[in-house]
Formats: sequence, structure tokens, C-alpha cells
Amino acid sequence: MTLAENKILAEFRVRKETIVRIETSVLEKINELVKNCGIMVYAINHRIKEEGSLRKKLERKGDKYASLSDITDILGFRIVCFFADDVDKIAQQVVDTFNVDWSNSIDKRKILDSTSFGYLALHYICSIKDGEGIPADFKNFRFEIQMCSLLQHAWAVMEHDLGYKTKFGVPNAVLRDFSRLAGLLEIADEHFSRIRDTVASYTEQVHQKIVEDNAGDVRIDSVSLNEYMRYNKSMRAFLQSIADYGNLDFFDASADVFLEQLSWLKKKTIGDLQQMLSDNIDLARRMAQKELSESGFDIFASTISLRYLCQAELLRQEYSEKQAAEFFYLSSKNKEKAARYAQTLFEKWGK
Amino acid sequence: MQITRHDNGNSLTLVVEGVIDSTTAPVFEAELVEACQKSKNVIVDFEKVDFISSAGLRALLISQKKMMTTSGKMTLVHVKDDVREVFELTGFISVLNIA
Repeated sequence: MTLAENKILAEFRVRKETIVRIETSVLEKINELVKNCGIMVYAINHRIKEEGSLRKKLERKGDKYASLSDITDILGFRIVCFFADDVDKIAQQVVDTFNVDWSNSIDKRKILDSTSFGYLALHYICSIKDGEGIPADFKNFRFEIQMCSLLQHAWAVMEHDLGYKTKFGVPNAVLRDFSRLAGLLEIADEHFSRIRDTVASYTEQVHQKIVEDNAGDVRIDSVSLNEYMRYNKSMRAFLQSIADYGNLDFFDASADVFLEQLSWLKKKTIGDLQQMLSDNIDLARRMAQKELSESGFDIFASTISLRYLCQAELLRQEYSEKQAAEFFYLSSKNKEKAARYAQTLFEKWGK
Repeated sequence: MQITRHDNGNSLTLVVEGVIDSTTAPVFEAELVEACQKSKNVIVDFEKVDFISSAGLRALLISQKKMMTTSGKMTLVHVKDDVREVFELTGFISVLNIA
């Protein structure tokens, strides 16, 4: 180690406490900016370089650095997005929140040509913007923010674990595999984004149909059932009538657990479900009001409407007690309990 | 009601003992919220819970929603039949992860 390198290490030790405070402050700002753009991220990782790691870096390329401030990855953050195209949205928020040192920032995604090695992230070198309440020792301290997709993150973790940072260290025998893998991950990222967009577009179409009460031919699936539960006027009125009876609160919950039960009852479309509501609403409402008022609970999930509609349908369609037990087994996965539920249903409401 | 916390590294377990009613629900809620802030994988052991009231259900709902916004997971384990029936009756079974 040269004198200059030792001086950098000494400076690191002196400033370590400040760097820890900067880490906390930047992390708060990153959490805030992620929240503001409404994007769900997989993780926000952060670390301060360990002294041993800094020492190795100085030994490798210490002649590049005159002081600690020349090293831009002493403090590092990695925002891991689920989708590759969310990276640019997050990056825009980072630009708005921090000063970005463009001369040292790299979009590694763009510099990769077809023969390059890796599947890499966007790296911005940043500092905290001037403003009220910013401690003097925070100013001009540069840190690195990496932004990547979950699959780019996977690449980085594997690459780190395998110890290959450039293609020059990789044996020829595995270089081809690495290249194929990089391509595979990029394609997978594109497909995940496409699936997300397709689901969003389908949800919007179904939502429109349900709001316009024109969804009769839409097949029941997770999207259509949940949109129906949230936006169909008859279903909302039914739920409200249960709540009003006992002055209860209700909240929306995923109806996915009822998909199998509706299928068992041969309900294939939203039209079938609408018909089931219309055929059973009086009995289902009486059942819900009685059972909830007797229980003393003052809060329920929106899915109880399906619970009582399905039970009323079992009775109206004159399913046998044995068949009803089969139906209850779908949710309870317990034969004894399912038989008991069926027996109780027939005893209480069968006539 | 008593709550014992075990930090298992990758997960945080709350062992709840007793009755969760309007008197004990605020403590239950505070413990749950704190656990959800500390870990992305919270396990709530209900083996010794004999009764849960609406106030307890609300506490579970708040924590579950919090976990969902942070991509975390809260799982209830060893839930007794009586308590499970409460979750079924109120529809909470659709919201909670019950192992």
C-alpha cells in the first residue's frame, strides 16, 4: 500500500460514522421516492463498503484515487424492481431526488453489445441535493444507486458468487453458457412485462363490461370474479344490505378461494353468477344476517356474500347432504368437518 | 394475553397465549405492527388462542394489509378449530394465510 492509499483508508475510518448517517438519510429518500412512483419493488439493498474490501480495491487500482471522495461506491444502494421497464421509471425519480454525476454514471444495459458479457443494471453516481437541514458533511458525498430488474439482480448475485466480473476470467467452456443465460434472462424480463401488460389490459376490459352490466358472457376467473365482487351494483347492494342490518363494517377481500367452489356448482360465466345472486339473494341475506348477528362480530370480508350464495344455491338446487359435504370439503379439506357443515346447513335452513 | 417473540433470522414468530378481545387487542395489534415492520416473514402461533373478538380481527387485518404493501408475508399457524370457524364465518379466511 502506498502512502496515498493508506491516507484514503485513514480518511474512511474518520468518516465512517458520517457515512452511516448518510446511508440512513439516503435510504429514507429512496423509500419515499419508490412510494411516490407507486411501483412495487422486490428489495432495496444497501451497504457500506467494508474496510477489507476497500483495501483490496486500493491494492488493485489505488493509483486511480487521490482521496476518498474519488471512490464512488463506498456507499451503495440497489433498487431491485420486479419488471425491467420499471427501472427507467424509478431512475427518473432518482434524477428528481438526487444530484446525478452524469460523467460517472453508466447505463450498463445500453453499452452491452451482442458479444458483451452479462445482463447488467443502471448505475447512477449521486449526491444529496442542497437544501435546508442538510448537514454540511453530507454535501458532495457521492454514493452509487444501482437500479435493476429482479432477473438482472439474479445475474449480479450469481456473477458475484461465481467470481467472474468480465469475460476475460471465464473459461471458454462456460462462456457460451453465460451468454445464452444472459439472453434467456433478457427474454424472460420482456415476457414478464408483457404478461403484466396483458393482465392489466384484460382487467380493464372486464372492468368496463362489469361497470356497464354487460359481462354476462365473461368467463369466471380470478380477474373477472374479483372485478365483479368490487364493482357489480347488485353484489355491492347485497353486501351493503348485510352490513346495514347489523351496523357492521365490511372490506374487500380476494374471492379467489371461491373459484373452485363456483366451478363445482357449474358456474362458468359472470352471467351464471349474476343469475345465482338473483335466484338466492333472499335466503342468502337471511342466512348472513342471522349468523353474523348471532356471532357478535362487527366486521366481515366481502367474500361472505359468496359463502352464503353458494350455500343457498346448494339448497335451492336440491343437492343432497352428501353432495353438500363434498362441496364443503373443497374449502375445509377435512371430511369430518365438511360433513358437519353440511348437516348444520340442512338442519338450520333445509326446510 | 401474553405474547412471546422469537427472532429466527429469516422470520419472526409471535407466540400468542390467551384471549384476544377488546381489552387485549391493542397490545396484540401493537406487537403485530412492530413485528411486520421488523420482518418480511412474520409467523403468528395461535396454538394457545382460544378466542378472538372483532377487535382482534381488525388488528389482524391491519397487519395483513401492511404486509401486503411491503411484499411481506404473515402466516397464522396452529389455529384451533373454533378460531378457524370465526375466520370462516367472517370471511377472514380469504385474507389471512393460515398454515
